[in-house]
Amino acid sequence: MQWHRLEPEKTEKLITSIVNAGGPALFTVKNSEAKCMRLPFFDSVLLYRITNNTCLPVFSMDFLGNGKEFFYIDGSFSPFEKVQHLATLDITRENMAAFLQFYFFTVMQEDGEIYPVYKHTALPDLEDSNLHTTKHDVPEGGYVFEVDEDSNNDSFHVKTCLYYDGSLMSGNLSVSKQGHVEIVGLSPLFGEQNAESASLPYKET
Amino acid sequence: MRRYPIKKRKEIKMSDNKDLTVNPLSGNFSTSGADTSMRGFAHPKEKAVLENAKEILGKTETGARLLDVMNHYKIPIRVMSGREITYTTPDDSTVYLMAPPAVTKSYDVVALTLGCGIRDVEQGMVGFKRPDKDLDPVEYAAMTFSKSLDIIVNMCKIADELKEKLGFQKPLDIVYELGHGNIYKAQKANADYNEIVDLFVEGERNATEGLL
Repeated sequence: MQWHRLEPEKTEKLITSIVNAGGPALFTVKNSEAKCMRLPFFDSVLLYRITNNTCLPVFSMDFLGNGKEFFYIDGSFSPFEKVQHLATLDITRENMAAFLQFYFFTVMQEDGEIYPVYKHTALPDLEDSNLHTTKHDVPEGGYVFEVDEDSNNDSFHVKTCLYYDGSLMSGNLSVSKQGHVEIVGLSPLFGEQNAESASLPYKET
Repeated sequence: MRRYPIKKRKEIKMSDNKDLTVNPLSGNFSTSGADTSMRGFAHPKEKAVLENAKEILGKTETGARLLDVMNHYKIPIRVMSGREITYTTPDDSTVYLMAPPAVTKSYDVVALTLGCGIRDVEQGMVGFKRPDKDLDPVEYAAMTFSKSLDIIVNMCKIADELKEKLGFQKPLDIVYELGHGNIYKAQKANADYNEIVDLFVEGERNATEGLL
């Protein structure tokens, strides 16, 4: 997975699409650069990023789209739902790490900053901003990433290290094939089991 | 909130070598008028987000002064939905705040960001304009540097007041996450401006060298 820079005509198309959707006039072909990246769990939908390099601080917006239609990644689950009329979400064991990384990158959580911590980042180029790039080193043997498929209800059970609002946790996740993620269990990655944390209810809505 | 002003970037692999994002001096500042309608992008709780942020910001000395500036100059503030809490001022007169839909636990961070956005616009109001694209690159960089440092110092003051007066820790954590901890400590210790400049230069150098 890597970024590919968009040609000026395609950049203009993206900018037009933003303006037509009611977006503020933050981008022009002259002041901005657009790029796209293939995502392993979508076949015909890409991640688009447009960056105004002349603003301070540098300002970016991300979209899911197929080159004609674009859905703004607004921090909610909504773009995932909207984009599924353009392409089928194909979550597999193999691309689960990438999917979860992308999910927690795009869908902001009520409980604060949450993201999976991997030994090797699945989507290395996803974040080019300064924040959220600090991955936490977990001592050797501390990493967990297990995926089990539940063919009965079309979902996966995933156990993974999570950065959870300032703490490193071991999280049990339920991931539906439609892309809904539910944290069904949490416990501290190290130390004694914290009963309160372990039973912390969380549900993506 | 994004790092200010030059972001420490991870290496970005591109299909060609024309990645302009690594050159913060490239391109023009936007001069187009900002469209404030934002019908598809406005935050679903725009009013509540802004009111809560203003209420918190107004309880700090630095923030209250900035809100007076905002009111005096009638600076428009719009709140967009977005993945992270940040801001932009594309036309030097409107502040666009960005915040996730689920932001209720982070109004203190929105307050900090609002303070930075207002300060950014205030710079232009008092004649500290953005550098022209045709300027000599060294002069351009010097102006960018001065504007950025001013906003960082302003951010440190607000974060400190939010912590000391209201007990909000997260804004100060963000100052450190952004790599401005030394500047924060220096301005809190009433260090002179030259010392703060040296710290900023050192921080930027370290951030840049981390990429090599």
